[in-house]
Amino acid sequence: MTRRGSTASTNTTSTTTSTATALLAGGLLLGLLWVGARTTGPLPPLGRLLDPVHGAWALAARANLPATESHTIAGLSAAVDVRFDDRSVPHIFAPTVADAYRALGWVHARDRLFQMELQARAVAGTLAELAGPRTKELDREARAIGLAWGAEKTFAALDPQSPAARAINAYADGVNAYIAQMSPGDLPLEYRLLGATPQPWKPVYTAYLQARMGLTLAYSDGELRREQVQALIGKAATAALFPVDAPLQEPIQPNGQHTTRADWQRIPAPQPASAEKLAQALELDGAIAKFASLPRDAGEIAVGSNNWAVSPARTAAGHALLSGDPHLALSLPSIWYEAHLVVPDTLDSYGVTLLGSPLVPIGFNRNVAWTATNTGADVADYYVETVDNATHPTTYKLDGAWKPLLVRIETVRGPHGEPLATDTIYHTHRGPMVHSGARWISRRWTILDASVVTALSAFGQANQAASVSDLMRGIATYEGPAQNFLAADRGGHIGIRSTAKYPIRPASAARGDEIADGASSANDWQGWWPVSDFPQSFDPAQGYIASANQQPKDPKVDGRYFGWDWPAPWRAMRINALLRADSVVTPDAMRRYQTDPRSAETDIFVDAFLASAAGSPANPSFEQGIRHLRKWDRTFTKENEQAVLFETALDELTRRTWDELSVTGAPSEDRPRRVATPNSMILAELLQDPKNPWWDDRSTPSVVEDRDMILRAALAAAYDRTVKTLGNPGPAWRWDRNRFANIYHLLRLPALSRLRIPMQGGPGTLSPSAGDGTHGASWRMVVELGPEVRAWGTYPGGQSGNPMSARYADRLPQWASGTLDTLRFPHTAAELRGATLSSVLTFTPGGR
Amino acid sequence: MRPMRFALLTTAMTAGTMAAGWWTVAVIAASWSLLTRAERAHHLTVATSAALSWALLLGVMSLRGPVARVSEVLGGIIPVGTLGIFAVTLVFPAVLAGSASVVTSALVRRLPADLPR
Repeated sequence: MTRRGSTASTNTTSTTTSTATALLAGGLLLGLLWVGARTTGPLPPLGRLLDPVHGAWALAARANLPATESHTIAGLSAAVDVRFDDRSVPHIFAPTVADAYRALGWVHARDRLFQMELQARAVAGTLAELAGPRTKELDREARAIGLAWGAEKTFAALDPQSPAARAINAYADGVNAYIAQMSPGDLPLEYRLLGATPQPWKPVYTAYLQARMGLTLAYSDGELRREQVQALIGKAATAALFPVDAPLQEPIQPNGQHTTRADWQRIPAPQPASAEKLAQALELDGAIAKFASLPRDAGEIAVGSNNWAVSPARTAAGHALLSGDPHLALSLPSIWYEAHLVVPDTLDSYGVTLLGSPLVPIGFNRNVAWTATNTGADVADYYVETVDNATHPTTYKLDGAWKPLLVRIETVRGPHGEPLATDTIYHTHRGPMVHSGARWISRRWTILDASVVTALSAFGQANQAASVSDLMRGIATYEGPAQNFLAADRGGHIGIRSTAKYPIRPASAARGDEIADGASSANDWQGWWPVSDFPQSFDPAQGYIASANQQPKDPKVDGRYFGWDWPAPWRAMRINALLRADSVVTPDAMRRYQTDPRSAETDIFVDAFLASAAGSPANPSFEQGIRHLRKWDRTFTKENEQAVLFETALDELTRRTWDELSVTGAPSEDRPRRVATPNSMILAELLQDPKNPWWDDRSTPSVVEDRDMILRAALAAAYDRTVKTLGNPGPAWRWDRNRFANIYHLLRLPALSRLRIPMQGGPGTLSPSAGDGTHGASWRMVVELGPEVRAWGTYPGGQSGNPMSARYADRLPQWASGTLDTLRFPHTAAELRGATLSSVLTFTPGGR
Repeated sequence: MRPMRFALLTTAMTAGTMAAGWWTVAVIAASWSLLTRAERAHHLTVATSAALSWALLLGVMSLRGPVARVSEVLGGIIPVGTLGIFAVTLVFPAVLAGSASVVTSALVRRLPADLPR
């Protein structure tokens, strides 16, 4: 009995163990099938990712360009020959312009599909459908701004038979032909990480891209911030700290002067408004956040584009030279994609293209080279609206009558179509409104009106232009974002024009720097500036033209309002100084200037720090700081050991000087925040007035500080801070150990990013390397317009969006060192052969 | 398991992955256990076969492109490191196939006794 019982017990135990094992295995199996197929928390679908044939490993096989391949694209009129050179640049030889755009769309999609979709979704407010609820707030913001709404409106008005519409549609055909031909192994890594697949490309996405560039380059919430500043320090001081006209004049349109003109004025003392007004002004934080997710006060971000051109009379070879150096937020993959489009007797254009668009906004052809910097004109105005109901308005008041509001219901959805948020967006005739405290504020912004047609037509004509005047004629219709278009041609001409739709404001509100009353249509824009009034210059006597985002026209030449709070012209001053001093400019000199390590800013501030030492009471930290600044050669080279002290001293000086602009914020904010920061040109202006009340430090009520006391305190504190952070002076203070370029992947994944790249350049140099290092030169190009056009260029990244490819970031070392590649510009496909040819791709008509 | 059978199973797993994807290792492991009425010792062999089949596929892939670069990138994202991602890639099918085999065997043992074994 006992033995039988024991056996039964053993069998039961065995069965129980076996069942438990099976259950455990079943659970494991179901769990693995789940995590294999579905995104789980931060984990991508592991099975689909790790599959060695269809998963991410398959991207290894797509890392290198195949020697030859052929595909079909529906709608092609004949075969298209695409030759990739040794820098992976496609040279597209097509029988028609539409065929060239089809091929470019296909090539863009193959190399950058995820980037293209991400950009389009960011504008449409559908990121959450791709990336899940974590991007919900970005989507809500995008929809509130109305970029996609505006782009769709202008796109719907496009004549389907117009060249622009045909270009957009042909490009979309190419993108969709690629998507249709993709195998599972072709799926870009990012889709695999998100557990998503590409959506078809709609032609309207090209209009979205234009709108997105508008947000990047022409967005302004200055009026809202200005109201906050006025409440803090009064109208007069605000007007001086954020002036309509820059106190340092080095305009784009030459003013006949041979050096920078300083129009220094006294900055009035701060006059705070009532607490009630201040509270109302601070409520605008909500409106600022709702209109766009820009930093609350970015201060003087180390960003800015440069371009310049030199007439043949001032170049060594006697040919016009052009430098293009647009600066943007840096990303991997890069915002740009190099391409060369050739259509016999019609188009032969080389340059950088934007993913999602078929044209070359910066580049050159056989006769002309062109580039752009951002103008920064004021093309957005804000209005306080009177509505019938403060929480659920249906009408707004205009000239005494109630007008119906346009209402948009926007629903943000998740990956499975589930609604995540629903917002009601109200529009007046000016544009979308946001609720700010007790007020409703609307915005009129040219970017929501800007037609994609004009941008495409303008660039289309630029791509085929035969001369500077030809190019400027074509581009005159361009509506925005406002750009300083610079061109040079083989005939030896150079020219620049700041081009966009610029509003004519009514005489009653001739400036756009304050919030206007929306109840009167008299405050609305009255029309647009004629092209003849745009800032511009052609073949100036000085023999060169340069722009670096500075105020385009000298107000003594044209006093009309064009914008306000212009960036300090340090870069413009430096470029012009270099060009004035060099009457035999070479392409290599142009290249060197792009990363020149000196800044016009340092001379003003270092001199001020040094002068403050005279008769100063002894302070060991200050003495040490002065000793270091004295031996500084005032350059931001990689090996420099003093530049980091200067940058810290400038930061300390800024903080101590503008303390009146700080407010104690919400309880979540651990220290007072500065509502806005005047740029360093205004700080330089204040240096001229040693006893100005702005020098007084509010935190020391028993002492009234003057300029030199603050300069000394700032430098001493900077020295102590630097020693505390980096140790005693030495190699740890080297610039390249402290300031870097940081280039993040679009999903900000560190493994796909390139961080802490040592760079030459600092705040105010032509290639700034400061702040968080996320902005910088996005494309550097030098073109010589001789009998045969020669060009050099590079950008921070690589042609491929596949992080597994050697072409993903292969240009970074060269970009960081300031060198450029020779750009191949073949007349015929046959010219690319041997070592200069890496891949041949042939498209034939066919497919769906 | 005899070598020929092991080779056959590995080939089936390789072909299945190539033809239809990662999940086929579970289906093939389950089918194999159903057909062979595999005992406990065989589950480990099935798991080994799955890992080997993916190792072979990775080997083939390395002839077509920079697999080392892929491991560097993937190992940074997951993040388990360059060698870790190889290990994860081989352990995943092994555990998937092994657990499918165990579950199938347990179900088979519960089949009525008069069914052919």
